[in-house]
Amino acid sequence: MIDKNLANEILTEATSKGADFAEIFIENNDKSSITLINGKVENALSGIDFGIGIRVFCKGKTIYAYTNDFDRANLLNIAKEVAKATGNNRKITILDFDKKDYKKIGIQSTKILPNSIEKTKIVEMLKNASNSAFSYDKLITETSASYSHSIQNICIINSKGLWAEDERVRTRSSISSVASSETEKQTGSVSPGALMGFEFYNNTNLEELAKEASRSAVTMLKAKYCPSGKMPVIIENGFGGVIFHEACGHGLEAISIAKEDSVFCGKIGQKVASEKVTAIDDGTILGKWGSINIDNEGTETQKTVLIENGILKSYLVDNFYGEKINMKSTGSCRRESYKYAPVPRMRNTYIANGTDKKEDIIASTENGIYAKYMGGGSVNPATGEFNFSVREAYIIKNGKIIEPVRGATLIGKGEEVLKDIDMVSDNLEHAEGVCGASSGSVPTCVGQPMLRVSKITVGGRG
Amino acid sequence: MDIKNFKEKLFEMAKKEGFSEYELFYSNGKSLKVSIFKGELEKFSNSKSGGVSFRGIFNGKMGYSFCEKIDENTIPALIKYAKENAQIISEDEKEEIYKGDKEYKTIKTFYEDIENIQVDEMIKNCLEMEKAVLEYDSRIVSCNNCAMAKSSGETYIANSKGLELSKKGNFIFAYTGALAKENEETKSGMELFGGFDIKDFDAKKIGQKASQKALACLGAKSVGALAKENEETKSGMELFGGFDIKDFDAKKIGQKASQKALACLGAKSVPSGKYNIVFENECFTDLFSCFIGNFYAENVQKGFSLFKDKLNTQIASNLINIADEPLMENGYNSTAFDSEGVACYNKNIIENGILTTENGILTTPVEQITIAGNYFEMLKNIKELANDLKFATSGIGTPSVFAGKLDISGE
Repeated sequence: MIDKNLANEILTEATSKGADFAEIFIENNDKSSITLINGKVENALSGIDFGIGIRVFCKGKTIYAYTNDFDRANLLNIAKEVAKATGNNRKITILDFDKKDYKKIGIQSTKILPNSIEKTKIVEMLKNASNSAFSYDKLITETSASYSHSIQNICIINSKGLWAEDERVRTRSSISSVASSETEKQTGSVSPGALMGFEFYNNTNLEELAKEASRSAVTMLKAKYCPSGKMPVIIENGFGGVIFHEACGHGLEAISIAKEDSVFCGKIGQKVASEKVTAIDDGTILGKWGSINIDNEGTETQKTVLIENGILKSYLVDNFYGEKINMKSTGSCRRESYKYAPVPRMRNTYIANGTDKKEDIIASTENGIYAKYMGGGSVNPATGEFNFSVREAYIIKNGKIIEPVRGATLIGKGEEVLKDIDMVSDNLEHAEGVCGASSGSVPTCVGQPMLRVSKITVGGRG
Repeated sequence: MDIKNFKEKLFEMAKKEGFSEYELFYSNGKSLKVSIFKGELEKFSNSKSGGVSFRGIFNGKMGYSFCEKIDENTIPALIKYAKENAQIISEDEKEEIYKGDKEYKTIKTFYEDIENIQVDEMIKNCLEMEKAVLEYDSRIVSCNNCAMAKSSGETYIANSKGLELSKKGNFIFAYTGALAKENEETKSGMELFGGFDIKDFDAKKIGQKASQKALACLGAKSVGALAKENEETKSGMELFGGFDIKDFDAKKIGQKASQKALACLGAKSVPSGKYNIVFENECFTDLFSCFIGNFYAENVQKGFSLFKDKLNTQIASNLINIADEPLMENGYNSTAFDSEGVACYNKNIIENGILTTENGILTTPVEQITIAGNYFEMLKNIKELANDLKFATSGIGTPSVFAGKLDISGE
């Protein structure tokens, strides 16, 4: 993606005023998206993102610059400006690069490039999903079906001689169904995706998933308002893991630890959760939406155990913040695009399977809420305080799921919830999402088996 | 590659490939940002980038494409993608290329003062903010965010109907956060300055306000009283959307923050139930922003808005006036023309009542509560509006609002 000599010149120039390290990140991202509203193509967009980022470390600080003007003079000028922000004169000499092409050697690879598929075929697939969503129930008044893919080619080159290339191919679809009464609208949705090419759709039945979106919308339309108060809450597998991701996961990223901006600071080896909790962040799961071959510093990714039986084991670490907290990279350094300096981020995060049975968890709950699908929320990362909406909730009485309720929200503190998890079942599932933070929006999975929190504040009406 | 030169080549190929009308939209941006942590420059970033988007009518339908590589070699991809997209788009999506208006208003969106600020000065400002945060109170344990950034951008639109327009603008902002700790309880506060007139910038006051906010939240107990409610929602907003932004008046902000801090200490617990709710301006702006899509004509036409067929009917309390003013002086989103080249004008969206003045409600801090209700019912039931209209960087603003009774969930 860049000439070897030019790369060498840029790195030499960027480190010419005393920087300890310089890195080049180049990306060419071929993207496409299609959106159908009520079965008709409303939006179709495609194009190419392209640019270069130059990052320098100097005495514990980072300097970052990017551009998409690849003119040699402009690139060297940017490298010179970056160098200006550092100190005295000292040159790093790069002898040669150790080239690795993860397109060929990485475990994550693509079978069918999505840009080789006729767009009319994709439209047909989405139309069928939309029809399936409509035909589920007369109460479904609107649907939205969308598709996107990205073919991101990256090249990371640094002053230590690293030269790593990879191709990341991802695709995702989303089906939403709106159920309406005279005065209300309720939405249900599903959004499957993967680090895969178009072969993903060979084993993903969008029509079945569309029915599930409609079922959820209709169920919520007919539901009563959720009661409020502090009570046990059973959180279903899959997207239920969003609470761990938001309220705990972000606090385990080395950027928060280095800034002493996390409740988990200095707690490695200590008990931070109920012994039922083992939490993992794994970038190596084959084809998973949040997986990678290498992170955005060129480090091969890994499976990182964050919490084991309640004991804090590790953080999510990159090279830059890792140096500050004296830990090795866990291959977790990520960014949305060349427009962002990378920072440690989650990949596929989940709470591991426990030994409790789903039926026993419900049967042993006298009075509480069963949160089947979680919705969005917000978190204060420094304190772990969160609030989340529950997209589909049910009342539990005397060990039985009684009736659906809507408008439920869960609020609490990540730290406390971790300690209050008293049952964990064995039906682990992952769910795809997009996580936003200082290095932009990156694809991540959240996940967990069904689990119970002994007490959590539920917000509702009445 | 020069953009006008690129346009000529692109249009030539578009015509040859069978597009009947076509348009090029180009924008570029430059930005500079410095962040401080523990008295030292922590991050420095600088960028210069641009991109084009192309749209054209092929067989009667509009197709779109974009690219960040502005050179001759990417023109075939732009044309190919736009053609593919035009072929699958629904027949119902009738779109036109705009020939332009006779007149465009001139509004100031570019400020020389901002362009001239040097990196050194930006670093100095950040150091002052950080110092103000840390020195404010012994319970402030860390200044977890402290940054200043400026950005500028240019836009150029040209099409086959002869429209050719360009504009440029710039903006500066600074923000700082504070973490307060007492009795094992940690709270955060954040303050932001955004604006056009750099003379208004006061680093010390911003730092102090961030600390005040963090301190104000200490001592909050679970489950809410009326005022607690306000605080809880407000704090959520600051973290989620970002910040507190306004024409910077250091003295007023300082006084107001002190009042809040005092009022917030020593909160008491209250059970769940229906309470009268007052939303502070920043908080109501956040809520209002979530529902603004209901006013967009496209959402109304497609049935995604609950305001469908509601034109000229009462949809809100007669106290409510909502206006959209793209020509506002020093507005965060002010512009003389939109992305299709259509001249902008100020307009009223809801015009029903008069703004009344009501101020000064004592509050107690609360955490861990939620408010529930239906936004549209609430709009109809609004009891009073304050005179403290305040804009967020999104360009959306509201005054504080007394919303009447809503459900609060606590313990």
